[in-house]
Parts: sequence; C-alpha cells; structure tokens
Amino acid sequence: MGIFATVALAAPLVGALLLSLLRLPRQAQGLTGTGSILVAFAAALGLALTGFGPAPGHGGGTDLVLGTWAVAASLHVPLGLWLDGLTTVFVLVITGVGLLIHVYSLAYMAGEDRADYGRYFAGMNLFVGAMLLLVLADSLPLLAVGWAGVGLASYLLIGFWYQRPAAVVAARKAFILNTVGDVGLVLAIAVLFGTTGRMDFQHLLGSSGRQALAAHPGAAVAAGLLLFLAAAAKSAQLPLQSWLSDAMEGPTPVSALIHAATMVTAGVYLIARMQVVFQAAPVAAAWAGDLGALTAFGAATVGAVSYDIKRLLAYSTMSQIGYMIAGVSFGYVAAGVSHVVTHAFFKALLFMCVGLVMHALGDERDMRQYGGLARALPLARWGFLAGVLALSGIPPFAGFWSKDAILGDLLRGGHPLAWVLLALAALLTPFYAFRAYYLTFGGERRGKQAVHGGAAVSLRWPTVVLAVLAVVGGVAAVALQHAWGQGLDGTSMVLSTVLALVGWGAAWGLYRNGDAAADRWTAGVLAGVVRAEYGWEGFWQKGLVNPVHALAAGLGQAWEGVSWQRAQGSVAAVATAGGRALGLWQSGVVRRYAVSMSCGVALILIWVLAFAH
Amino acid sequence: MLTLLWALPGLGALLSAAGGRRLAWTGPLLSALALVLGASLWPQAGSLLQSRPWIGGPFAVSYSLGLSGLSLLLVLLTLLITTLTSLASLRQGGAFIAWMQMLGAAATGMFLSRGLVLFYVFWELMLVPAYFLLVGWGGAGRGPAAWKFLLYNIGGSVALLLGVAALVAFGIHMPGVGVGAAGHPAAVPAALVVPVGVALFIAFAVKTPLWPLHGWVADTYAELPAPAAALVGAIQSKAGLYGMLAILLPLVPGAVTAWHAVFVTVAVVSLVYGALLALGARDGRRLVAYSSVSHLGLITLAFLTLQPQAVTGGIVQLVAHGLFTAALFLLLGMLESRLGGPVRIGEVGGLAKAAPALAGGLLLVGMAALGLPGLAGFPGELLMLVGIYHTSPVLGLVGGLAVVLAAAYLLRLLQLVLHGPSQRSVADLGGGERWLLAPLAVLLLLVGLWPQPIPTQAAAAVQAVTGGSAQVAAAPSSRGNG
Repeated sequence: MGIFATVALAAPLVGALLLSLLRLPRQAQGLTGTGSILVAFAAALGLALTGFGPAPGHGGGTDLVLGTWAVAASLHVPLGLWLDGLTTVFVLVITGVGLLIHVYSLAYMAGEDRADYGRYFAGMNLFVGAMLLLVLADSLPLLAVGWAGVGLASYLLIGFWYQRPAAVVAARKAFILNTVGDVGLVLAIAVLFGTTGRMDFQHLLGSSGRQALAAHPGAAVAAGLLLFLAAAAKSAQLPLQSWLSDAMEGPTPVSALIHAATMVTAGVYLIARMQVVFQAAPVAAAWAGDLGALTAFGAATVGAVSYDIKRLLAYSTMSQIGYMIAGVSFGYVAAGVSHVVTHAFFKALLFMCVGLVMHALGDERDMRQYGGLARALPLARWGFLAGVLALSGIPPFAGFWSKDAILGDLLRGGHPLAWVLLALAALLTPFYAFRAYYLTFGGERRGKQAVHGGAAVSLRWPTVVLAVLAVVGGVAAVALQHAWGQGLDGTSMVLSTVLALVGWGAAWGLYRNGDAAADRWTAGVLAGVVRAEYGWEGFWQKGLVNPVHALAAGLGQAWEGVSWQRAQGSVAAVATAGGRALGLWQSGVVRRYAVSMSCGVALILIWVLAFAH
Repeated sequence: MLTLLWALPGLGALLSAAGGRRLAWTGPLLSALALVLGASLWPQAGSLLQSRPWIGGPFAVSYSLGLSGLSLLLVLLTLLITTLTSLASLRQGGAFIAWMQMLGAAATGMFLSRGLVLFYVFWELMLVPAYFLLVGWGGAGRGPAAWKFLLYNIGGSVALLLGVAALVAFGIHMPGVGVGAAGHPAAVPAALVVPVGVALFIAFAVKTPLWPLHGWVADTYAELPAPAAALVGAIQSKAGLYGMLAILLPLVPGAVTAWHAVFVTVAVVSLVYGALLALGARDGRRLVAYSSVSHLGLITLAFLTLQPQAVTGGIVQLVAHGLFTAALFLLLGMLESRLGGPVRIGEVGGLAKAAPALAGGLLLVGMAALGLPGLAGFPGELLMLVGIYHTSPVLGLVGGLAVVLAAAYLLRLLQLVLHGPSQRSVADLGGGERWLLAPLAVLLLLVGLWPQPIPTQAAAAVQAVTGGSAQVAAAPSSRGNG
C-alpha cells in the first residue's frame, strides 16, 4: 500500500524535474510527461486494489511516517503519507483524469516550439505531483506544501502564454487570491495548534483532537472559517471566486485538468478531510455550506448569460463546486465527494470538446461565432452532448446520481436555505448547458472562420473514454455512496429529475433551432450586469487593490523621497557641523598628525604595559 | 580551531589585498575551506568553546569563541554566501575580493564571539569593508549612499558601544545565548535597564534595519555592486537580529518587558511599511531592500513574542532569508549586467523567452522569498505565524497581511521583468552563473522540504531565550578544544 502511494507521488515529480532540467527532444518530452502519469495511475490502481482504505470522518486511516518535517519545542510535525478512502478516491481521479488529459495534450499542444512544449509538460507534471502530495499528506503543513504547489503550477500554466498581457494579469490575480487562501490555511493551522497542540492528522482527526475541539467551540469556529477561506480561494467560491473565469486564459487542457477536474476540488478535499472541525463548529459549517450554495446559484446565473464558452464552463465549475462545498460542509462527505468524481468526468469532457472546437476554429471562444458545428465536428458534438446531459443531472447520466445525493441529503438534514439555492441552480444548470450546446452545434454557421475538422488520435481517444464515463460514471458515484453508508432516496430523485427536465425544456423552447436571435435577451442591461459578475470585480479593484497601490506609490514618493530626505538632511547638517568642529583637528598639516599619532600610541602603550599581562 | 573559521577568510582578504588580481582566487578558496571546516563541526555544535586571556586590567577581557548551534547555522550561511559572492566578483580584482572576505571574516567572528567586547570589535570591523565597497565600486549615486550608510551605522555603533560598555561595566561579559552563555540577566542596576536595552535595540534595529532607522538600506543596496549587495543584504542584516536574540532578549529582559509595546510597534510598522514600499518600488534592488525590511520586521516580531515556535521559526527564517536574499541580488546583478543598468520595473519585460534559465531561477528564488510552501521561506514563516498568532491573534493577522503583500510585490517584480511582450533579447545564464546559483537553489528546496536540521541546531538557543535562565545553565557546555 505504502509503496504504491510513494510511487504515485514520486513519478510525476521526477517527470517534472527531468523535463525542467534536461533539454529533451520533443518526442522524449511527450513520453516523459505522459509516461510519468501513466506510472502514477498504475500505482494508484495498485493502491486502490491493495487497500482502498476506510471511509473518512471517523479518524480511521494509515499514517505512513517517512521522517520528521520539523520539531519546534512542543510541536512535532511528521513527514509522511496518510492513507484512507478519501485519499484513494482523489488519487484515482487525479491520476486517471490526469492521464487522459496528458494524452490529449500531446496533440493539442503540438503547435508549441520545443522549449515551450517541455515547459508545458513540466508544469502539468508538477501539478499532478503537487496535487497528489496535497491529498496524501499526513499533516497540515505538508498539505500546505501540496496546496501551494498546485497553486504554483496553476499560476505557471494560466500564464503559459506569458507574452499575452491578459494571461499575465490573470495568472497574477489567481496567485494573489490564492495567497489569501494560503494565509487562511496557515492561520487555521495556528488556531488548531493552539487548541490541540498538534498539526498531524493522526492526532488532529483522532479522539484527542475531537475532544480538544469540543472543549473550545470558539476556536473550532475560527478554525472552520479560516479553513473555509482557504477552500474558497482554491475552489473559486464566494468571496474569493473571481480568479477562475480569468484563468481560462490558459491552454484548454490546463483548464480541463486544473481548473475543472482536480485542483479546484482541493477545497472540497480540505473540508472533507477536516470534518472534525466542522462537526465541532456548526456555525462555521453553516457559513461554508450556505456560501457554497450561494456560489452555486450565483455562478449559474452568470453562466446563463456568458458568450465566451470557456468562461461559461468556468462559471459552471464554480457552480458545481458550490454543490460539493455545500455537501461536505454540512457533513455529507459521501455525496459531496461522489460529485467530485462525476464532475471530473463530465467537466473534463466538456473542456476537451471545447478544445476540439477551438482547434477547428483557430482558438475562437465566442459562441456568437459558433453555430452549425454538429456536422463538421461529430466527436465534439456527441461528446459535448454527453457532458451536457451529465452536467444537467438528467438520469441516468453521471451527474444525476451525485448531484441528487447532495440535494437529498440537504433536504433530509434540514438545511432549507442551501437546498433552495441549490435547487434553483439545478434549474439553471440544464438551461445554460443546453444553451451552450444549441448555440454551438445547432442552427447555421455564424462566424467566418474556416472549420478544420478531423482530430489526431491522441485528441480523440481521451474524449471518447471520458464520454463513456460521463454516461455510465454514475455507477462509480453510487458505489462510493454505498461504500460510505449512503442509500438512494426516491422522492429526491423524482424532484431532481423534474428540475433538470424543466431547465432543459426552457432551453429547448428558446434555442432548439440554434438561432442566435433567440439569445437577444442576453444583450440587455440586466444581463450585462450579471455577466460582469454583478460588479464584484470592480468593487475589489476600486475598493481595495487601487487604494493599496496608490498608498504604496505615495509612500514611496512622498514619504521616502521627500520628507525622509529632509529629515535626513537636518541630521546630516548637525553631523557636518560636528564634523567641522572635529575637522579643526584634521588640519592637513602633517606635523600635527604626527603629534596626535604619537600621543595616541604612547597612551595605548602605557595602558597595555600597565594592565595587560 | 574555531579561530580558523574567521581567520581563513581573513587570510584570504590579506592575500588578495597583497597579491591583487593574481591572488584574488585565494579569497573564495579559503572561505570555501572554512565552510568545509565549519560543516565538519556540525555534530559538535553546542560543545565547542575556546578562551584565552586577551586584555587584562580592571575590566579583564578574554578572547572567547564558542560554537553553539545558532552560531554554526549563521557561520555556515556567512561562509557560503562569502564564497559564492566572492566567486561572482572575481573579475573585480584583488582589492574588491579582499573587502568581501574581510566582511565575511568579521561577520563569522561576530557570530562566534563569546565575549561582548570581542563581539563589538567584530561588529565594528564589519562596517569598514561595506563602506569601502560602496565608495570604491558603487554606482553613480554612491556618494550620498555611502554618507547615509555611514551616518546611520555609526549612530548604531555608538548605541551599541554604550550598551555593551554598560553591560561589561556591570560584569556581564558573555552573550546570553549559546555555549558559555551568561546565566544571570539581572546584574544591571534597575535604573539602567531600560536605557541599556533601548540603546541595544537601536543598534540592532539600524543594522537589521527596522523602521524608522531603515533610511540607509535602499540606497546602499541599490548602489553596491550586486555581489556585495548580496553579501551585505544576506549577512549583515543577520547581525542585528542575532544581537537581539543573543544579547538584548536574554541579558536585559527587563527592558524588553518595559518597552515591549514600543519594540513590537517598530517590528509591526517595519513589516507593513516595508511591504508597502516594496509594492511601490520602481527598481529591483530597492524592491528587495524594502522587502527585507518587511521580512526582518516579521522575524523581530517573532523574537519579541518569546514564544518557542515563533523564535524557532524566526531562526529558520534567518537562514532562509540569507539564502534567498543573496540569490535575488546575484540574479538581479546578472540581469543588470545584461541590461547595462538597473532593472527598472516596467521598462523591461518578456525576458523569459530569451533567457529561460534566468527566468526559472528568478521564479524559484522569488517564490521562496514570498514564502511558497515547499521552498525555504515557508517553514520559518509558518512557525512564526503560528507562534505570533498564539500570543496575539491580531498580530497574527497582521503577519498574514504581510504575506499577502509579499506575494503581490514579488509577483510584480517577476512578471513585469520576465513576462509580457518581449521588449529586448538578453543572453541566458552561462555555465558559470548556473553553478554559482545551483547551491543556493538546492538549499532553498532542501530547507523547504526538510527544515528539521535547522530547528534541531537552534533548539538550545530557543530554550535559552524562551525558557529563562534556568535552562541556560542546563544547556550543554564544555570547555577546551581550541
């Protein structure tokens, strides 16, 4: 078990190291980058088969200690791996979907020159390695190392085309908002250490951690809110959500792997992992869950009026992660994590299909330039349809089983606010998903670009595999829920199906002809406000970022430059005056120097002779 | 044997001064030798002390050197940075190397000193080479820069002299931390405790530097030749913090208690104000200079909490800050020599295309500096924030704010220089430059992934500072082995 986990973790990191240090030829770059993930996936399968691990939330798990990270007085932080069911699920998703997207990238990124091709795979391998470290770490500081590593990889890959100013700005924004989250994580560690005296899962998640947190409910709430802040940054939830839509400046396979299937679910992992805190702090759990549900609804409304298909999918990702966050925050780990799995399948699929469309249309992302692509791009069309059906929660496609589980749990558990928001989002989801489908593939061609059909083998097969998973992947979700002690709920299933069908019906009624005229309502003022994320962005920019920069520039010029120099000038004047007085001594007459020196030497000699042995 | 640690680079200084360009190579060679010697003493740290009479008379002063774990860490850092920065400046000729070696030797001696008078002598000795490097080889604005540097630092020296003289006069000859440490902090008359403590704090704050005594730092770091800036920025700044840890906190704790609010305010303002200035800085050197004020302010704050995790974190960060500051200045120097002038933010851009290795290096070092987990800046930062939060949640939040600002200003540096449309083409790092930076890069990774050796060596010092004098007496100390 341990050996499989170690190999899975090491392979991508070794790959990243080789790719960044060696000047490999192109084929070798692709082989190294993809091969390392293949090894990791094989090891992940080994890990799952030799011991899937117990369900999370009960403190059960194996701590594979490799060494000591740091000891500082009473604090002891081990360096090791934590193995349980939650870890295994994430390791399988990361390496499995990761492998498919690496294969897809082989052809998708073929247009880059050798150095950039290598840089791309180095970044992707670094990402997979760091993400595996995040879910395998056996202590919060080590988790933070993985947490920051995925952030770094995300930053590097959002800004992959760093000559484009938009990509550079998007990368910086993502990094800084994530740093806010990182600080939240560090402070959460501080609170937990103050309460429990530990930072390692063995103790934090066990009975001693549970008792300490129960004895300090205030600290538990603080820790829960800080953990949620960290999760909100990484998973693009309110109030730190606004980086994800800009992150779409990165290459599309990056969006598929990092900004849809895996990294953005790290926040879900964190909350699922730290259940012990949220159980001890219902207030924090409610805030996290309700903000997640609000994100799910809000992002779905923005998605409904988006023109840029990648941004639309980004809003959809925020929205779907809102479901997961709501689920795990309220303690429904099985439902929330099973949605991570199905979402990874269908959202990666949707991005891959968008990648096929963009490849065929010279990187065009505006749906107003699409239309009528069904015949030219059959694989993208059928794949996208499968993804849309799964995303919309239409039974029996994958998304239905996990999304419904969250809705059903919230309904039964008595969380009306979150349930209403998520139910509204469930109504909107099929609407925006099918709007995108009809506008892209239905009707007549609107744009003027030539369509280059026909995709390379390595683009096709991963898409097909994920399409199959989007159709039948619900089996995995149901199996996981069953293993972690959750059954199916008939009432909720009917309700969810009705919601999905109503949403689909609305989209069908408006857009079934793929006619752009039907989309005219999105040009209205209100829709514009929604598309601008309700002015959220401008609020931060004008309210915080600009003032801080103005203050920094002002301090640099006014205080440091002028007043500071004046103050120093007066000190200098005093010193100069003093110096002049002393300077009388320093007359430039050599004889006087000689006299001074002799006197000094004589004094020293006398002192040494008198006192020194 | 401990004498060799500072005498070898000192000999290097003499040889390169005498032999000029032909013997310049002896400098880095001898400091590298001292580095190897120091590293071989790793297991013996905490048990080495050498002492002999030096000056007799009523205030008898002995020449004592001791190697505590904390001293060892800072000595190894000093010797490593001295070696690398001397190697980077071999072309500057013998006199330049001589001053660099002298700075390294003086700093090494200071970290090893087990007598306050000796400490003061080495402290003063550090001032001379930095001044001459600035005057002799500095940039266009070296005149005013050197003037400021001297003014502030001599002011600090006077304060230190007063403080040390008072301590010695009242019978305290030893630093309060390390092998053979003074075990009795309260020998200074009550009326003098605060003046002595404040004088020492001023001296250490100037050297570090902390707000509002940081006026010299930006000009000095901007005008010094890059390798010299790397050495001064990485090592000399540690002198002030080492002084706080080894002298101020253990020997005059009364002053720290009485003036705690003032000292904490200085640290907090430094860390926020430095970060804001770094955010507004227009060239790379000044940005790094102000970021140092911020980083070192956080370390000061951590020390002032007297909380074990925070102090441990502060010591880890001392080492990390030395590594990434040296690397940043060296890299900026390499960039400057390609651009033919200072790295003005906003006037260069897109260098990553032409110089991927340079870009990768700057990225690694910048990420370490902003405290990215997995790199050297993180373990210390984590421990400091944990400890500071433990004593005061509000200060913990302020520390967190500084971390966010650090990400903002360092990304600004990285992105505006490396990314965006490429405006000009520059040569990538050459083989020699890569080898020069490689040790620093490896250490930045190593300290990030496995910091444990540093807290282990620092444990005795942490205990001495945070645990009161009882533990100081219990700390291992044995004589002999000179």
